[in-house]
Amino acid sequence: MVNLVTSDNESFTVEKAVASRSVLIKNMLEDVGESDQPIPLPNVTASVLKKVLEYCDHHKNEPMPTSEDLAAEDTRKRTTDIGEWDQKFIQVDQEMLFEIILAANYLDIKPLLDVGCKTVANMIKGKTPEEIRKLFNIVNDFTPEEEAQIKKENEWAEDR
Amino acid sequence: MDIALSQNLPQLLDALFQQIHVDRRAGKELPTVATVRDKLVQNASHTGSLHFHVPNQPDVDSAAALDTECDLIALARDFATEAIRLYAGELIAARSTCRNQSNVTYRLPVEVLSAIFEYVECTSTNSLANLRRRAPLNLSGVSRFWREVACNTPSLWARIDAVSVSLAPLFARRSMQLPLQIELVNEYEGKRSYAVDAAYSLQLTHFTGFIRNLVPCGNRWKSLALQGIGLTSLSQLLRFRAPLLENLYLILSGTRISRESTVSRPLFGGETPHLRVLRLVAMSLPLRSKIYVGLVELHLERINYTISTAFDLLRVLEACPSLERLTLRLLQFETIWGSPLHPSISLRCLKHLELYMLDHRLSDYIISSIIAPVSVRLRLEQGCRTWSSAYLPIAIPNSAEIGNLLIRCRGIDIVEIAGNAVKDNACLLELDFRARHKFSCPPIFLEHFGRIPPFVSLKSLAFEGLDDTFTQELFIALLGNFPSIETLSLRACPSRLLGALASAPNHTPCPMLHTLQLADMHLDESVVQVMQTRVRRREADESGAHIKHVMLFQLREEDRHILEVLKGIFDVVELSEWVVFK
Repeated sequence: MVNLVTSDNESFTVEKAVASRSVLIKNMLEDVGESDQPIPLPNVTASVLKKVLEYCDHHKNEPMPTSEDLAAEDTRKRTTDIGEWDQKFIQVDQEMLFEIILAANYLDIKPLLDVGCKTVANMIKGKTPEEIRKLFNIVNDFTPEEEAQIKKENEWAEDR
Repeated sequence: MDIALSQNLPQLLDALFQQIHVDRRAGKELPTVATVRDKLVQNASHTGSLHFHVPNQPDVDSAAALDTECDLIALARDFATEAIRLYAGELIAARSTCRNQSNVTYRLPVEVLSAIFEYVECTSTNSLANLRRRAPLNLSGVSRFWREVACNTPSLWARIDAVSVSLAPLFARRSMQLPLQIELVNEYEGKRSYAVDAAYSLQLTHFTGFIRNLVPCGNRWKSLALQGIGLTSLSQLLRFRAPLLENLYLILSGTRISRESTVSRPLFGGETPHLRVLRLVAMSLPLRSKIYVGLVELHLERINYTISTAFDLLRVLEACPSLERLTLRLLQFETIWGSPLHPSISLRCLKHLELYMLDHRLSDYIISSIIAPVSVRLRLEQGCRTWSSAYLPIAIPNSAEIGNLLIRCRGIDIVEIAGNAVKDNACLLELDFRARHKFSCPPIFLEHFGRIPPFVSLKSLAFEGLDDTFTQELFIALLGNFPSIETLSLRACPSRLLGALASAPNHTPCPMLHTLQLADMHLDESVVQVMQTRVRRREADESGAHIKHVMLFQLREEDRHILEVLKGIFDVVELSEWVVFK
């Protein structure tokens, strides 16, 4: 078993196979060898880690993606299809969704990072800049001159 | 004077801004605009700066000086307004940027946001949307940070299609050194959308110009799909080397078969060393061209070759030993075929062989000239005037692998044959025959089907939709070609055809048959009589009369009494689902 300690000082004891879905944790375990020392995760809160561990537990028996897999994924056409379980898993509020992405990136859990990125991509696709801003509560921070430049650059797009 | 004014004005404005800032920090109450104006007037009166000298007599010089001053003060006002507008714009933008810093998307590392953008760009619906709603343009218009990430993710800009082609130089620049995919067709991966179709129609006449804009980065072209530009124009346009080009798709719309082009200048100067996929539809490149060498996929369609011969086509195949997919549709050759037929061209990697609406002699010429793996998937579509002029292919390279066959008639003018692999039930064979004239006569060409080459692994044979014109003689001849079948299925066929299974003292058709499946069929006593002939042979201990199971699906109510009789002879099962052939 592995003991993980979150940024808000909560401890999680999990199977090694579950924790090792994170390349970061897996490498740390390999570095320290057999040890009861808790592993600090200063960038992850308890609520987020709980969710991440739920994902890792569900996928613990799947083969880890190899570097060849990752390289092949870059060359072949990407899809935004998400598995059924993963779709349900990632149905969380926007704040949690981005927290999961950040945690997956920090913990180096590529499949989870992909699920998060695809989910956000599916939210964005087919939307105008205004609709995207509204979706993520982003403020338009272009100056009028920059807006004019973008409009000119995309002039052809305006009526299409 | 203008320069002095434009240089000093920002300082004056800055001083004013600073004064307001200092007063505010000191807790002083800010003056209203009216107060400031009154103060200015008061100061001006005191200093006399607003007292202009107006001479009593006409004085040209004074009037001219006042004119100059008026112009200058108007200019100064315009500069000041513009400076304030610019400054305020920057200030508001900076304030917005500052607010965005706490936004969740701004907390993502650049590479993660970039990966999200790549996923957005690669979705098929993205390519079907109009520009305002498709990545990367919608992404680059959200905010400064998103724009910076989008503009610095080259892969977002590496695909140019009919919708985005007018922005081709921008895409070419932002894609940095990445290979480019150029798709100027009215569809995307077989799908059409209003946005793509409309853009294609609107831009078609400008395609030549757009392509010319992309010529400087010709060394980065990875794929090119072009619809609607003739070969004469293309040979003028595409004269440069394309060292990275892997995929070339040239198409002329419509249904017309095009005559072979006489344009002799090779595309891309004959230098396409990495070309692997070539699809030409109503566009002919000479079959002796170097462009065909080393292909893994070749698709030729709607071409009437008047100069090249079918033998040249064989030479093309010979030059592509790694060919995985060969599709030929509506090809014609006016000249004689060439060398004699014998299998000599080894295509060991061939997975798909698709021959549509070719003269049967050409199909046979191709099939009999290549050595394909037995796992190849053969799809053949043949049109004929009537069934008497229909031809079966001279060879079926995968016949030995097929364990399951379905022969289906759709009306009186369509016959379909499908075959699945004995190993994994994967579809290996699809033969479609279509008669142009709907004469009510049986598809007599089927008489020889399965004889040469034999289907040595065939275990299951199914028929569907054979109509009343299908004679028993034809059915007997056909069954005789498949002596090894163990399961025979008939659906929606005349029950009289079952007479073909009757055993005679010296002959039992389909001797290995142990399962008979019937669906949507009328059953009468004659069926029972036929079955009893096989039972008698079985009782006489003759080999090959072992029908054990009869399976029925959608039995008619009026035929239920036959069911009872059959149950006395065989193991009869009523099926709830018909899954004879997938």
